[in-house]
Amino acid sequence: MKALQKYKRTYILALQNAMEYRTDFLMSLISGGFIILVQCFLWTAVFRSSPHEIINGYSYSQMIIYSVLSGVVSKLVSAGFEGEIANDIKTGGLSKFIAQPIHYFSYRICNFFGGKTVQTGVVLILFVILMIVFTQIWEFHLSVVQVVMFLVSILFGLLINFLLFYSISALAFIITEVWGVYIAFNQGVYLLSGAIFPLTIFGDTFARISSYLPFQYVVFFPVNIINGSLTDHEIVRGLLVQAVWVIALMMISKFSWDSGMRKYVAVGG
Amino acid sequence: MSIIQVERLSKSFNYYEKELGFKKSLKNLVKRKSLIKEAVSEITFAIEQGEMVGFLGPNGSGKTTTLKMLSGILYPTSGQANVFGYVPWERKKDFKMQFSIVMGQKSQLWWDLPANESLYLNKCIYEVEDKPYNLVLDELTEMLDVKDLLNIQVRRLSLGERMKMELIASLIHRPKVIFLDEPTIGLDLISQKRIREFLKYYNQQTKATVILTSHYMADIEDLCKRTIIINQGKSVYDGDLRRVNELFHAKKIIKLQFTDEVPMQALIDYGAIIQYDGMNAVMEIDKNDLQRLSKMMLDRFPILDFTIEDIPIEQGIESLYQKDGVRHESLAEV
Repeated sequence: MKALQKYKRTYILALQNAMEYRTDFLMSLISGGFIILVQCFLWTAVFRSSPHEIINGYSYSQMIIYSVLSGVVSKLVSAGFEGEIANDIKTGGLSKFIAQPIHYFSYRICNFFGGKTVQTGVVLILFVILMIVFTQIWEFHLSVVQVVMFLVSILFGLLINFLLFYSISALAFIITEVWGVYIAFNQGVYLLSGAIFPLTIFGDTFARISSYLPFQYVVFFPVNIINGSLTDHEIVRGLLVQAVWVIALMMISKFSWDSGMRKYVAVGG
Repeated sequence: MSIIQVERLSKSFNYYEKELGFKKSLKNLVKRKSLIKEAVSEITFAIEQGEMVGFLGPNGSGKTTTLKMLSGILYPTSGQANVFGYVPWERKKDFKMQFSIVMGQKSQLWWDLPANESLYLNKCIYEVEDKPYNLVLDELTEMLDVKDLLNIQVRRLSLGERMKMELIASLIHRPKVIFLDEPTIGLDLISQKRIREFLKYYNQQTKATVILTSHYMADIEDLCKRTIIINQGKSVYDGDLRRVNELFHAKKIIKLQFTDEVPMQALIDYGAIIQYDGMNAVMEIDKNDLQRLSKMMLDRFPILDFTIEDIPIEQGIESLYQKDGVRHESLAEV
């Protein structure tokens, strides 16, 4: 399979590239930790001052687990390549990909997964440690099926997030300076994916709207699998919806990129 | 049958203007006047297999835009092109497998990794077998003398070394056609010369067709028998660079050195004075009158030294750039 060789190689290069910057990775991990810590303190205070045992359908332990895991998962699925793509489009770096027999989409996704591999390894180890800690503190049960479903849903979440950002990147063909759009989109995804708070906190109407959007399947859904707040039936249904979103977003990104490529002006030298 | 055929190729871009000042910026937020720039307009030429052709022209003349259309990066606004049987902007894989474009200002190497990693990636991208890859790599690194730099991170290489790596990366698959967009930009004279020698040798060895753009006259004078001069999106000259002056009024340059000071007024009758400082003068004289006038001058003035030269190529090109052929006083860098 000669054609696949190039993508395998891209993946390996991205992997090597990611390992060149260890400090950067470590720092991003630590910075994520701060947010989790703040959320834990916040929820502890809320539960202490509340007469109820359960808030928004979460018990105290579930809420803490949610906060910690959503932090970990959102780190895991975070994109971060949209700036690179925008730069490729704005400064003309995309040219070389058009001139070479390689698909930009496949190149990007291999690059993305290559860059993620080391990070994923570290995050998964962290995840195992956290899980052991949680099962020790609280009476918290975790089945093998749950973990497998969780990992599958994370993979889908990763793909959904990649496709979301890849599609939105095509905006750079139309609007030359897209940083503002990215920041807005990034924050939107951050909120709507459930990376900050469980989505149920925003009320029923919101929950219903967001069930029609892809965002909650990036963080909210995977974390709820582990959290035990979903039935088996709901898990399977969620995984199917994720798969549908992956396909839909693939079509959207293909469409937006095909039309963008025709617009491409390839500026500079 | 030419390997590259271009017919009435045009490309125009949309852009908008902003005048100086904050007020105008505010105005721009609401309303932008859209303007159209003809980057390339109706260029026609044909290039034969194995030719090495130079594109010469001032900044923004459309050289790079033409190359980008020929390599399929840009869609033209109108016109046709055929590069070894393919329409470039259809971006067919078979087409991409057989040509290469090197952009002096854009790197295709992975910045944080050693060059050999990027080279190996290109081997995979172009689906080159191990054996021919090792052969080509050996040959090219030998020729460019960069064998021991292959394992060094690209960002630690000098500009010249990096350019050599870029060249190697783009030649791994032995392309039939090579587009070079300012391959010597920013390099020192020795590196420029090295790369020039390499390109010449490579072109002779492999019979690859090469199109080269450059600001540096020396690049093109040295490498290309044929030059296409582009100005404001139009092809204004196509042929041997050394004969560019024949296009113009046949003039010659005469350099005079006197033993005694000669007044400027005395010289004016013989032709245009380009330089004058009393003891020396440089003049432009019509070819047809050359014999008669120089004899007269030799008789009349106390001349120590007398040389007749061709008008420098730069000057001819400059005249071409200024469409109507009016020449400036200064010899601007081409």
